[in-house]
Amino acid sequence: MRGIALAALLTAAALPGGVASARDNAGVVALEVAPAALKPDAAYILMRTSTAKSGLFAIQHVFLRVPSAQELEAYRIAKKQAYDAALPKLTEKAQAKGKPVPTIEEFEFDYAGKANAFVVQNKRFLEDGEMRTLLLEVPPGKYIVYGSTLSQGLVSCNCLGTVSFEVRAGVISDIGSLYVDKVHKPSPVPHLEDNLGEQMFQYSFIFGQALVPADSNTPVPAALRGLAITPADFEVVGQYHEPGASSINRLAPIPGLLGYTHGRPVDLRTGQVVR
Amino acid sequence: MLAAAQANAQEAAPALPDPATVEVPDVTPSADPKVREEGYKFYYFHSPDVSFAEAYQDLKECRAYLPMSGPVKVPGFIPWDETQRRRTIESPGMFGLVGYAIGALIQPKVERGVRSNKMRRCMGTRGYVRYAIPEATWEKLNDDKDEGALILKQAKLASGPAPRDEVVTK
Repeated sequence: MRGIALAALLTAAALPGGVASARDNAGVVALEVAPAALKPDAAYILMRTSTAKSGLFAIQHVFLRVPSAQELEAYRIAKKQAYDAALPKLTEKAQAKGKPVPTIEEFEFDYAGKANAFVVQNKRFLEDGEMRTLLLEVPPGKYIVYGSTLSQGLVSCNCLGTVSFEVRAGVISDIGSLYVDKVHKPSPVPHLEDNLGEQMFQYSFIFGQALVPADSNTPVPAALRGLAITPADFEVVGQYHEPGASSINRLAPIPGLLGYTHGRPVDLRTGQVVR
Repeated sequence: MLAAAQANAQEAAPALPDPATVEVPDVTPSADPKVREEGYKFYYFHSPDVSFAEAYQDLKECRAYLPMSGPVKVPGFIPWDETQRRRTIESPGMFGLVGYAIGALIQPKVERGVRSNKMRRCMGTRGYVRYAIPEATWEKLNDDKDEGALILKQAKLASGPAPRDEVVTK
């Protein structure tokens, strides 16, 4: 019990409340009413999600849109400026501790620019049910099923393997169904890699996600019929580092798409390990 | 040290010494029930299917996930192209500024638990299981400031003879 209390307390403390600007949710708008027509310059993600909670908090998906070259350049310029401004203090601190001065790569930087990562809020839905159906209006681009969270911030990343999908303007991309829950113990949520070990919950949460891609049998809300809907095309994403996540995990294997060999992600369509 | 481990994970594998020359602590299964009870905290990895070099590479890659930074802000900007090589400096800790005061009291245990979870998941997906050892032995295996030497010791045990002991599952 002590461990559970610590996990809850510390995770709550980890949530960076108030950091998100209401104006910038990575350009994402969750639609609670079906649009009469699709905007030609906007893209749309259709998905169904499980609704597991941990205590009072909904366990939710985190997506990341791969930033453009321009966005990355703007980030790098801002980071360089911040680093240069901080360098005198960093140098002073490092010298006092007898440590090397951090490089710009090692510099913790809080970027105030446009967001590209967001929480998929399952309280804003198109249709309710055991699985909630969500329709997100988003900027066109490539999105990665990046991890999961309780609120804001990131609890678990899919650093050990996941998928991405491209969404095009003027089209609803149906990614199918996403599932998420705590996975240290057996979960009632299907498709997850769960029961990883009860003691993993002692001091930290570990969430797991699973994806069942849309197919011709996947139900689509009646209100969306007549709009341009296409099943999403997925790519396997190799392993990555996210030191800001408190736990690491992977998207559960997806038959015919995502597999693992010796822990490394494999595109089952090609048989190739993805790095 | 840990930031260096992350960067090193992407470098070419170094020439490894003969494992016979690597000294490791005694991991003979203990009859002490406390060792069994605390096996979820104090353990070493083993796989019957890997060579010394493979175990070294697996440990190196998995330990690269151990560095922590402040919490990721979501919504926020994540420079995706840096995620393969992002390094971190000493930060307020994984629990942020609010949690720092709380965490200072219990941080060592929390950090050990968080690091353990990361290693369990990463090594577990590569087919490794865990065997319980006394806390003092665990410290000998995990407190070496020389990251390379630490990995060599763990890799020798991970690829050595299969222990005649119960696997830790909880």
